[in-house]
Amino acid sequence: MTFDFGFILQVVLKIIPYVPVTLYMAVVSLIIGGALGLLVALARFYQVPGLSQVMTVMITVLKGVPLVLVFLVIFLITSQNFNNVAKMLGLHLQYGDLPMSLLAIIGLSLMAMVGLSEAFRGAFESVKLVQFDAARSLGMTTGQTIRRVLVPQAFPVAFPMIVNMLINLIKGTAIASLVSVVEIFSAATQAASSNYKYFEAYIAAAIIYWAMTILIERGAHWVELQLAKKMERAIS
Amino acid sequence: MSFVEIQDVHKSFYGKEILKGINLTIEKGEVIVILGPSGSGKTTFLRCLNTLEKADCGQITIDHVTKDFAVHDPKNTRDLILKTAMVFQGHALFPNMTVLQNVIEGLVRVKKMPRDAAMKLGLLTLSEVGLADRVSYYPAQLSGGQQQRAGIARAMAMQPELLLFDEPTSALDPELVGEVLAAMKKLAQAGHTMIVVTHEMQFAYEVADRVLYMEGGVVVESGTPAALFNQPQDIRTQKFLARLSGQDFSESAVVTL
Repeated sequence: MTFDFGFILQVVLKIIPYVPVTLYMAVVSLIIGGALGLLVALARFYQVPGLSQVMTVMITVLKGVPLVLVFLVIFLITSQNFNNVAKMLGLHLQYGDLPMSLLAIIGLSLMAMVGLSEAFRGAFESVKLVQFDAARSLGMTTGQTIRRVLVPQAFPVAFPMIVNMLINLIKGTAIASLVSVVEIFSAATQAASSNYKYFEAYIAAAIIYWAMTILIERGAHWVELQLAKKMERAIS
Repeated sequence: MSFVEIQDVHKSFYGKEILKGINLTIEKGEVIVILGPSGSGKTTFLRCLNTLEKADCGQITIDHVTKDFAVHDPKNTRDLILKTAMVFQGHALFPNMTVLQNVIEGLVRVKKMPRDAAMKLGLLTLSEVGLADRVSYYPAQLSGGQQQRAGIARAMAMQPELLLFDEPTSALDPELVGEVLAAMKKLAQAGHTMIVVTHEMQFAYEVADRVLYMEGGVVVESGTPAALFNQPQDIRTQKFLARLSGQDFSESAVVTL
């Protein structure tokens, strides 16, 4: 088998324009999943009656299956029912009109929610109990305690896991190629379809993923240093 | 009617009764020191007074605000919390805020004071505990004594009617204890009403108007520091004081290998 370095470079240049699509799906999923994960973690941390148990069951169900399965189930449910539901709601929308990246975002958001809710819950546990006593003795409400004490103190602890989740989401976006979203992975595959140099194409895709991961890790490291500067002894 | 009236506070944990009915009346400006061995319920008692711990029954009246601990009433509970302030063992400052932000947090968020007025009051309170030059430091950048003085400033800034101190010096290195006790003494002399749980006998002797000795969830004995330290009436008080001063080792177990 001959190895075509030139073709790797060609494919790299060809798939760079799809980096924004991949980043868009990953970042939006991180934000949605992060927000949902925060709510789940809070419900479980404060042991909200009923809600806490429902969340625990939901997380267990989602955590126990591969992402691709979640993704395909979402695809099957939405593709069969969307048109009927849209008609019932009086929307002039067809399933085909929806951007397929939306499906990927739903699936990846669920994955992010599961992972981040656990990360946040662990980070919440790291906040010392006396902090809640102090907030209460000042007369702060539960909402104020969450916003001003719990989340700001838990965030630096959860931050490395949030970054890790972003990297996992970027790699997870490759799954969107299953429903014909053109992102890094499917662009690389398409590039090789004419000359069957799949090996080179996959290497090219890997190079892009590596570059993105390295850049994110560098950036995260810098942010971590900034976060640690003022509270270094408090969070160690 | 006294300034603070505490009646019949009971508290059990997991079926074990920790407080077996505590009564206490305090006049305005009085400083009460509570002594007692560990497990005697003194910290639990203090935590019940500002509802950090929910007492099973009992009642407290501070400056015309009455709270029955058995009744669930969030508004009433909040009124009580705002009448009290607590200084914790180990500073309990918020590590994500500077010293000044810590002090004004309650003023701005809870009392809804305008930010500049809160800053003014915060700076004044911090200079009273000798931290005027540390206001923009983070707690992690301060010594233990400075952290605890900032904790006192945070409690004071809320302008409570009753100050609660839960062993404020017991987590400190010995050489840092003095500065914290000095700050507390200054508050006592300024006429604040205080309940202090501590093991600092010298402080109790010099600053307290009344000393309570607690053991097994009851107040065994109370009186002026001179009376309690020099002529303790109850055998339990005598034994406790003797253990502390090292006069009597007959009670302490001999370590055998």
